[in-house]
Amino acid sequence: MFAYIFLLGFSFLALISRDFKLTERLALAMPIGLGLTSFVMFFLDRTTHSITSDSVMISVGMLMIAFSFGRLYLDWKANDLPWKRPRQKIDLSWLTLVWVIFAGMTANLAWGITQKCLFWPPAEFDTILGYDLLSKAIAHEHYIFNSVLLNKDMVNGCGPRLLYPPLLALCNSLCYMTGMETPKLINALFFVSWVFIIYLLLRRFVSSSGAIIFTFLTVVVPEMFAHASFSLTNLPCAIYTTIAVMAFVIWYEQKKEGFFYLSFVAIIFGIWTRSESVLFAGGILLILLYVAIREKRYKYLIIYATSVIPFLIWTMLLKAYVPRDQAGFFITKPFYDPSKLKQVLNAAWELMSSSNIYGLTFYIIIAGFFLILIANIAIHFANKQNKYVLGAFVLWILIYAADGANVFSISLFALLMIAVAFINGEKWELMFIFFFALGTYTLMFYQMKNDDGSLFNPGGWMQSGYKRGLFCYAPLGLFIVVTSNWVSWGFEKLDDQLRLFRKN
Amino acid sequence: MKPSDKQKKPAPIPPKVRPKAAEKIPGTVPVRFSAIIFNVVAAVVSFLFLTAFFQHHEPDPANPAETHMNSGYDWLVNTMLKGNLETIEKNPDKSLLEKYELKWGPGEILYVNQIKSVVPDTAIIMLPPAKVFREVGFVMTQTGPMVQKAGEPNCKTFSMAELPWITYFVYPRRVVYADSVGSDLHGATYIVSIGGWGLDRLKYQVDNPQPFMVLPVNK
Repeated sequence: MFAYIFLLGFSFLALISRDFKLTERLALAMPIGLGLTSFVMFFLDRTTHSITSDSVMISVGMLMIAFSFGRLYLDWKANDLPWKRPRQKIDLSWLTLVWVIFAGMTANLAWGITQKCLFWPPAEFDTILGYDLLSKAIAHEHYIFNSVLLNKDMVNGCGPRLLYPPLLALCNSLCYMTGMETPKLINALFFVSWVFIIYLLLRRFVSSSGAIIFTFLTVVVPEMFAHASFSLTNLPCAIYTTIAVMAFVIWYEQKKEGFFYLSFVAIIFGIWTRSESVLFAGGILLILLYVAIREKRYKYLIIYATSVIPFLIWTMLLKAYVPRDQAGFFITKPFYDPSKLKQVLNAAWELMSSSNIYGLTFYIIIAGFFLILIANIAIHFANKQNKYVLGAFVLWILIYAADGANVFSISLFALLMIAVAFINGEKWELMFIFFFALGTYTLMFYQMKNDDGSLFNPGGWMQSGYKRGLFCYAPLGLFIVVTSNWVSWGFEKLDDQLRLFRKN
Repeated sequence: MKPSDKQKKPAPIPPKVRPKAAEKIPGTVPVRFSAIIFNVVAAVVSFLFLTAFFQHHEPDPANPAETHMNSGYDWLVNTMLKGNLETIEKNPDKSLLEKYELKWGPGEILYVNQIKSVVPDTAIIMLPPAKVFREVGFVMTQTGPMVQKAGEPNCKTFSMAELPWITYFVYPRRVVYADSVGSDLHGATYIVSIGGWGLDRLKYQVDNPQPFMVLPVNK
């Protein structure tokens, strides 16, 4: 079954574009295959009301054959069949001892956590009272809206975790359908693919040493690493959203059409895992709106806007089928409460700066931001716009010194970063998506009710939900730093010295 | 061939270039000696970096709240991963139940297993009302869990008081609570008796009542 799913992802990536390297297709095949399979299962549920291992296998197999033939047909039309292409020579110009050491350490860690993941059965509260409970019911009853999801007591007892979009529950149910005792294989497959994906997408911008060091730093983020052995939605969601944003940046910077569609598909899967991914879709849509206005091309904007359709469908289905008493979590009216805002920001920074939770990740990200800001202003000081940015930066320092971190000073800093990136040819679109999504995500918690104190309690919404939601931002922040002009230039120079084999 | 097409001269075949002796790997050429020196130096620096990155700090009894800059990475490799891999190595062939027992201790999961071993997959199980779960809990002993009055030392509350929790472990068996269905059995063919509760609902006399029992409604 899982070999079929891998081949489905592989053939789908081959079909949508020839922009992907073979290694990229291999790394992406499993998460994309799992995402596609979850939609196949959803389609089977809606049409035949029967999700069985046989029906999934047949559908996946048929799609895989259709995608493969589709690719072959396109290649045949272009007179460029795969077996007629010249073979690529082996290129070892990326190989350095630094790469070997960091790759070895990363592989060792990934191996260890995968062993842990596969050994222990699911024991996390959220999975037992949520997605995995649902996945057991899907596997046994063969449809999504089953005795678990239609039982009011069950829904009220589980809370929102049972109502997340069904990607992980559907994927987990595949394990039960194929006779496994636990669904932990899914998490292992996601995590192992993720390690390769980060490296390969970073390689689009950075030399091998930079890419492997930052892959290591991403893999080793303590809380995220621990989650690699848990059966929760946060890590798969972070994987999909990070793929979506990184692929979008590759499309925007390098004009590789295939990566636009990869981003589109990945954000759909992200939203199909956790609805909060919609914030990234919002950031990307704003960039696409800018592209549409600047270039008078609306195609990409319209295509990407459809990525929120699964979110809408799932919300409507829940409303139609699922009985529940839960009151909403959010305050529906806009309001201004400076003390609550301050509390949310403080709690957010406490989590980001905790060495036990995110290690040095957010310190590296902030140091990188200052490097981008200062290096660009200093080196391109002749540019008049950089002088204005410098003035704004001095103003920001004064505001920050006077009043510390608040919404105004943080927003001004974000604007400064986006401006300096825009003026100096850095990846401003990535910076924008990062700040837009992180800002709206944080404000989402400000907008949550706190009548019973559950927002800030130990184990409350900030301490659990917000903390895990940052999984999407830690890799992206590191991505911004390592792909910035000066850091990637530094690694390029380093690799020039370290290169053991030169390209012919 | 069109008439206008001229007979083209065959293109000269390029002479075969023999790979140089030094070019051992196709598509690449070895680089200067200085790169090897740079690599060795960079490898030593990387090694030192990783050693410092994952350096283990024993907790200071005088200052248990003390954290180091690398405490997350230290925990990850030297505590979490190391401890788990040791456990995995020592227990390679544990069953699912044994793994839960290893993780959570010999507690409620053994009661859950008792339910699963007695009740068939298609049956409905009746559990005591919330009141009973408020009054009794269990303690873990070497031989397994024992039902205790709530509030006694080390007494834990039953997680099976939560419908989703118990459903997760006993699924596809269905669970109903006595207080949600009243005096009606609601199709339940098995009863989980805790602290003597539920014995009066059975259609037979239990000879040797135990604090925790899983019993069919009809003998």
